[in-house]
Amino acid sequence: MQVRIEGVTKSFGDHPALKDLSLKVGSGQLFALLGPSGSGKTTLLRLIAGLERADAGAVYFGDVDASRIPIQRRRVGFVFQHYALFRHMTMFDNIAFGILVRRKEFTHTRDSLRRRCLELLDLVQLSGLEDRYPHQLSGGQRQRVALARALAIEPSLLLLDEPFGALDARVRKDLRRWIRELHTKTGHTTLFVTHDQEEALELADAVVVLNDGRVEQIGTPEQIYSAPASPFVFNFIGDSARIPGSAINGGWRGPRPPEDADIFIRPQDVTIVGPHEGAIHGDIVGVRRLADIRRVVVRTGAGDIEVNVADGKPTEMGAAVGLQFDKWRTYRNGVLLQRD
Amino acid sequence: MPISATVPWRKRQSVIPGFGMTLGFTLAYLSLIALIPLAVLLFRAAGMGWHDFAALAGDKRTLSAVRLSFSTALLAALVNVVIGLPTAWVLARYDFPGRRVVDAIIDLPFALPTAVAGIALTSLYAPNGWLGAGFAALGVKIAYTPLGITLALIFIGLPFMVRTVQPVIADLEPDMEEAAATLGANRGQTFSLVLLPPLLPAILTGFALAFARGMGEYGSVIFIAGNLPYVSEIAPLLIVIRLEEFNYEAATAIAAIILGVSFASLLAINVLQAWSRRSLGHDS
Repeated sequence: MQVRIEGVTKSFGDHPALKDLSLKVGSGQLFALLGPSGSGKTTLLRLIAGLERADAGAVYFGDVDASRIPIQRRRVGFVFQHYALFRHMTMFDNIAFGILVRRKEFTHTRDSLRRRCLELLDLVQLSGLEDRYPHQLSGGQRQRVALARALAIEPSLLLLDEPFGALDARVRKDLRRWIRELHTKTGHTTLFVTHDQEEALELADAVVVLNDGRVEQIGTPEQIYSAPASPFVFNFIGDSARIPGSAINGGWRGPRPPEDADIFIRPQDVTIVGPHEGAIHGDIVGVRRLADIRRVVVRTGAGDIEVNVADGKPTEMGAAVGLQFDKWRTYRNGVLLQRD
Repeated sequence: MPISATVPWRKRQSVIPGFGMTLGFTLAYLSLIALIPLAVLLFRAAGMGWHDFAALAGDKRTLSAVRLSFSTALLAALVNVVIGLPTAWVLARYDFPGRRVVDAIIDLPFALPTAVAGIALTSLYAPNGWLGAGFAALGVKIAYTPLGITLALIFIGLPFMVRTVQPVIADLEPDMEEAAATLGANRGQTFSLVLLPPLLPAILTGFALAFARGMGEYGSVIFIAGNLPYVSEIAPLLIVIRLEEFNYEAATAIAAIILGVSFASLLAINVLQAWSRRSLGHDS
């Protein structure tokens, strides 16, 4: 099912959460809503589910205005960050809940209901745990049951609110891959909220970057990463350094008021050269070990700039170096001015 | 915790110190203020011999008083479940102007001298009182009837119900209700299938407390009851009457009966509660 959001505005008291936001999610796609906390991503998700009401604008499911459909009949599978499993019910009863309360829509016999629930448990790889209670399962297992429960109502739309937020790094990684496979298998139109850019880039067909209640950029993970449309996106996705000014090749020149321009660069697009070469000069003030690379911090007249350095290349604290930029983007007043 | 099931309790190492000391202290004061007085009561009741006890306990006036205390306490506790649940819900879930005031008023029956409550209720519900007059016009007599007793017991028991259930409601994640709604449950289904089961143990506790209090309540009831033997005379009052007649045997017998009935009821409720906790997956 295609979801269209048109000009949605929502405030909580004096605090605006969404500002005239529009978005289109194609049928069967896996969308990530990415943004810092307070950017409105969870509000948007809850609004689509019908858990919140928009002040203005509308959400369309296909061609139908969703505000005409009560939440109970939207057939939206919603997975909460903290699972929201019914703690007094077994896994089986949790999954069967949606089917049992919609007895009119699902004509299940006792046997076919049981088969369906066990099938779903099998799908989320938890066969044999149907008689367990939520408190007897790990976080990752609970979240998978929550997903099975959401899938049980045969949703036309699947919404996941920071589904991995409460899990540890290892489990997150496994679940991420598994969700991707599941999406390929079941093909539900899916939106998930995350503040983790790595998660969004790895998992989604398309990433929607939200900032302060507005859409900053919509695009494939590739576009978002390599062609950020605004300084915010550049800064939010991946590591970056900001250098005030607009000219960098042939020597950096500071900003010239009233011009408001910034150059953004990524650590992997900077090379350390001799102290008398390069565009900017400075001293090495920090060396850190990341998982597979060394990260050197160079203090320059334009601020601290982080640089990736391959193993084997000497890096000495306090050494005077020059920096040469291979790729960068310049934004003037928040608009892309010049690429590379 | 599974550990407690396998390791004998004496061997268990706990990070919380002072198990021996606190248990000893508990047993000591429980003995002084509860167990010994109750044992004396039972001892005296036993001392009068089975025949005498049966004769005193089988007395018609005694039986009707105990029956009245039991039935009014039971009814009042049931009504308190119905009133107390929404009250606790509103206080725990919503913020509205005056919430703190209402919250404080709930505790008033705890603090108010029970006689004051009794007199206030009586003047209000007597046939010539503000509310009583209206009911009298409809042919319903509240004060000086078992209905009046029940009313006083509802007043006395309400805080027990509200105060036991309220924190449990505050503890329920709104997530669960939202999840139920997205899964297609209407309000009735959400209430009965999602909200009520986790609250059941607390409701039973509140019910038990309100009921137990109702069985023993004296001060507020005697003013509104009218105290007609066989009609509106409660068991605690009859004990006082027997004491004033220096008929200690009869008073002891009634007390023993109340004790037995209360204990059996509370035990039954506790068993029920343990069962509800287990069947709802509360215990780990």
